[in-house]
Amino acid sequence: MLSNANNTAKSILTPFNLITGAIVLVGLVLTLMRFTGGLARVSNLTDYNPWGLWIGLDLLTGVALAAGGFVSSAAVYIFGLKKYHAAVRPAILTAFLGYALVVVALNYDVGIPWRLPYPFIMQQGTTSVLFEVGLCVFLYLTVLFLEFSPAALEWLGMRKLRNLVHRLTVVLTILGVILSTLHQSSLGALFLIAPSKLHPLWYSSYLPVYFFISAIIAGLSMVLFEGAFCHHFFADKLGEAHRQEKDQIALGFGKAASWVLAGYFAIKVFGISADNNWHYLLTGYGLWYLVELLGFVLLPCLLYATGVRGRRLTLIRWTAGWTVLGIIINRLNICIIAFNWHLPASERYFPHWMEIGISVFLLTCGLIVFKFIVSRMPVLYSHPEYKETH
Amino acid sequence: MSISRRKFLGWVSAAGSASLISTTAHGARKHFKGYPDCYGILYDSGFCIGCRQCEEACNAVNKLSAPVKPFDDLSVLNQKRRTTAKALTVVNRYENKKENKSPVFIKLQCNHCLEPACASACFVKAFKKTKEGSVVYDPSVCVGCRYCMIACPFEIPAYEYDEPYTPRVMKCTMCHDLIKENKLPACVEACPMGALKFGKRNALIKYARERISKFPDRYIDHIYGEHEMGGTSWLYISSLPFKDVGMREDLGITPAPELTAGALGAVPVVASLWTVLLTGIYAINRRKEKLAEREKKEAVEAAGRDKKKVSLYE
Amino acid sequence: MKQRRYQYIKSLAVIACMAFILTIGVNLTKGGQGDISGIETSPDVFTFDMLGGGDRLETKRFDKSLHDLHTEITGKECGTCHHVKGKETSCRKCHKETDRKKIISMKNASHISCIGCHREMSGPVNCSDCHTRSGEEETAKSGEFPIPNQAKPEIMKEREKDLDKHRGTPVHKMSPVHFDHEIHREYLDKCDIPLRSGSGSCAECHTADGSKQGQMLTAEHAMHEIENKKSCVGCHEDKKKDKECAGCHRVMRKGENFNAICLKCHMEPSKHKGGKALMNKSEDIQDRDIADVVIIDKLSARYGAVELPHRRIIDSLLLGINKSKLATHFHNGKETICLGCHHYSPPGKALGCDACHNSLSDGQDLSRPGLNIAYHQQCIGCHDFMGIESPGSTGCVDCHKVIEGKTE
Repeated sequence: MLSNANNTAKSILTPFNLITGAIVLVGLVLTLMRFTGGLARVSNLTDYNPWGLWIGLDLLTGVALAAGGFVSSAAVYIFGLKKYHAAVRPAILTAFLGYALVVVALNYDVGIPWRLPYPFIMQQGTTSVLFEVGLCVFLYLTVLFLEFSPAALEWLGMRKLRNLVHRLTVVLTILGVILSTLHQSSLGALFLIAPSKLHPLWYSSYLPVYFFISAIIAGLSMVLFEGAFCHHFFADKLGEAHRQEKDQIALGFGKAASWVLAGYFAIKVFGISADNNWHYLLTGYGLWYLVELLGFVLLPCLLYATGVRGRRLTLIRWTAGWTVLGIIINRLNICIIAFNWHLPASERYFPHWMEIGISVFLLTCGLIVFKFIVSRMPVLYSHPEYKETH
Repeated sequence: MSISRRKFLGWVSAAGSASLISTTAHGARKHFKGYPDCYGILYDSGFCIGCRQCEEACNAVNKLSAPVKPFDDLSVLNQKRRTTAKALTVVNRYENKKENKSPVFIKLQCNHCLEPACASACFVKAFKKTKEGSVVYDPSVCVGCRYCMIACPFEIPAYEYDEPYTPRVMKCTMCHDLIKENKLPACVEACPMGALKFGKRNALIKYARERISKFPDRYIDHIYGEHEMGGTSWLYISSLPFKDVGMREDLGITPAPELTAGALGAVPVVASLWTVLLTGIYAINRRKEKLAEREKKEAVEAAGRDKKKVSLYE
Repeated sequence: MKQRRYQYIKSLAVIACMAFILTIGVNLTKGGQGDISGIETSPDVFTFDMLGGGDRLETKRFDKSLHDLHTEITGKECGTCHHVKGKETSCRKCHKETDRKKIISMKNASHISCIGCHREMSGPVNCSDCHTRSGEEETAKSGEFPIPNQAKPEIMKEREKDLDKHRGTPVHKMSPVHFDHEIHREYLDKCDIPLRSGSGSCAECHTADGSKQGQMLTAEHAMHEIENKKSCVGCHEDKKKDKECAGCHRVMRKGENFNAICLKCHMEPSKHKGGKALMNKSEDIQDRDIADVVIIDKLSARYGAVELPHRRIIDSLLLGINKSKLATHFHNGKETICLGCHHYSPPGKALGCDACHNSLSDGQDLSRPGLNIAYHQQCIGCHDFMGIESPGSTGCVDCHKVIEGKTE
């Protein structure tokens, strides 16, 4: 018995649990500080910089990286590319957790979080792009919840309900694509209202289009990235179909990503040309923009193409990670780095360590939930009782 | 593949309405010149001596906490300041290298735009442009998203970051309550030099033009706020070029709501078009699959019949 | 096979990158606003700059003191330098900027003549002895020029005849202007205002109809152009910006013409009294007309009453006026002093500020401020324009006492 107790004690104190536990503890303390001391207690936000790391990373990047859900479900259910079926559920789960975390992060960032439902129930600010973002995110979260629910229902054994929801798949997918298009592009449209504050290389009247296309890229890459992540850490949970399909998913999504990146590169160049912003390229910001454009758009485009052509799966997966990094850089550029570029250095923003701490805390919570779900529910494998008839 | 007339017309009309995505909605092109008879305030930098009595009066009327340095301490003018949650208006001093040599002062506060960016950006309609001309804020619905602070091109709204439970966005209200009682805003009342003039916006613009034409060497020939960002209710005339006194001249004349009107106008178009397109693609794919299945079935049956034929003859 | 494909793709990638960078580079050299340095076309015109500093070479003014010196050295032999008899004017009247058929350029003439003589008589021969960089200030010394042209009566009559053709009936005409050359010579050190050729009366070129030499500018325009310091009215207007004058004149519209101001210049020769000083002290005005001190206590909510040293202000204004013959010429009636502050008052009676500026006028009439503002705009505005540091604009206690109980 003692040995049993020892065994269970050992199994709880895994390195993963220890690290995440510590992060969660710190996170809880920071949460308390945030809600008793106000935003000034835990952040470096100022009157010049009202949006910081939480908006730039948790909201903008989080939503972009959660785009895998609508991309993969559209590919499989609307465009009929059945061979990528194994990618759908993990992508939907990532998307759902991603959006849920976005909502949680918003509760930290917004001044009076318990008033978040106000735009829907009190006064509708329909002139605001943010209203549209909020509405679409809220609806899409519902859609994602419904799209994911079959997996949970299968786990819970509620067959009738599961089948009912399953029949809604196509409708939910179409709705998901529409809502995703709207809010992904609207997150870009948020910055249309501040042309005097965003650097001309990043500001364009095409911002909504840029955000939408880069969201597709982010989605495709995230599927590959977290697929590689799952296959490494949850190899034992992988079902047969998933094991077999993962390579063709990598090749197919890699090829798609290469094409979309090429198109994205082209429209960004046209954007610079349309506004005649070439002369900005030789400034400091311009060089950084070139790093983003050439290093994180053109380069992965070529690497993906190379990888797909040569069936080099490792290259494809590393490129996926690199592309994800590029999306993070792009969103942080627009929200923090190239924003307020005209202000003197003393007024520029850098996140407080507590802001970083809370972001890490939220990400960790997401990982914990992800691990919990993936270990128990039929996400990485198919439930034997349910055959995919679609 | 044959396509029915109905389907053809459907596709063509969908494609045609797609051209609307790139242009702003027609309604956005109207030029709002302000509510008729709306009020405004003219700031004449030629009269301002930087005594900060306006700041003191504003602080008193809005019941704000006392600042670290008292209002008669003019050494604060050595640094450039911006509006904060505790200072809804500030005066800044700029050196004058022209003949007169006395410094030029600029008083900063909410400009009460005719088409305010903050009101357009607020997703809970906490900001309203009143017909008196002032842009007022309702703290009872504000969620604290701070998008208004992103949107304001003049960088005016400030936030009570150190308030944990009910932080507010803080900005000048043009003493809207006082205006409704036919009184003057506190800063206008307090200014001993008459640098602030309260009146109907149209009358103020005429008066400002007269002053500029009467004293052409004392003023730059431009009324700041007449057209900037579509026009503001707070107007400025200055003896130095505006970009030398901390006021941006590169904001343009497009009102802020027009900047996002295009993106918002595209929402219903996307919603309707995407539904049609995606359903269409799904339907096409299903059809393809069904046809493929049928062909496969027929091929299997045909093979079966052939086999039977062969076996018959065996 | 795979290796070759890989190489192929790699080289394509490199070419694509280079092409992209090239396109950017081509676009940069083509256009764009600002920010690219170093890509400039070479200038068509080079400015010769021997003294450094990048500015054009300017010649030192050959002013009265230098002329005096040369007159003495040559023993009053005008012909030594003025080599054309009967035309003893400035060299520049004939020697222009460039060499012409029979007359060489000013540059060559002065170098040959001046330096040539200096070499023999040991005078200045280096470049910097005569040339300076543009913008350097110079102080003039005293000395006398012989005056070729005075406003002699005969000349005046000629001008009158010329102008007569264009004016109304003899009864209604305005007198021509008696230009007092003496007085203007005192103030202006350089004769080359308005022209570098420095001689001849204005009317020689600026005739009633305008002539080619005068660039078709008529006499009327040339004398009255308020924006140009070379004209009579323009120079007088410019003098109003001086510190002694600015207190009152800065708040008056440019070229604001009070009644009969034209007659100040266009007056009968017999009426012209010359630059006689205005009353020297305010005592010249009847005692009961001017208060010594005025207590302003109409609005003393926060600050105490102001004891305005009325007489002292008038005295110091008079001091400023009497320094300048121009000012005394125009300010020769007491209403010209009083109206600086007591504007819009009827003649002979200086009204108090509260006669028109009542507290209610604020907001009703944009051009008539309320009493509090009127006081401050008047006093502080004047002090500001006159460069008076104390009482300064934000020195409230310089003028007011603080009321007991009110904290600063």
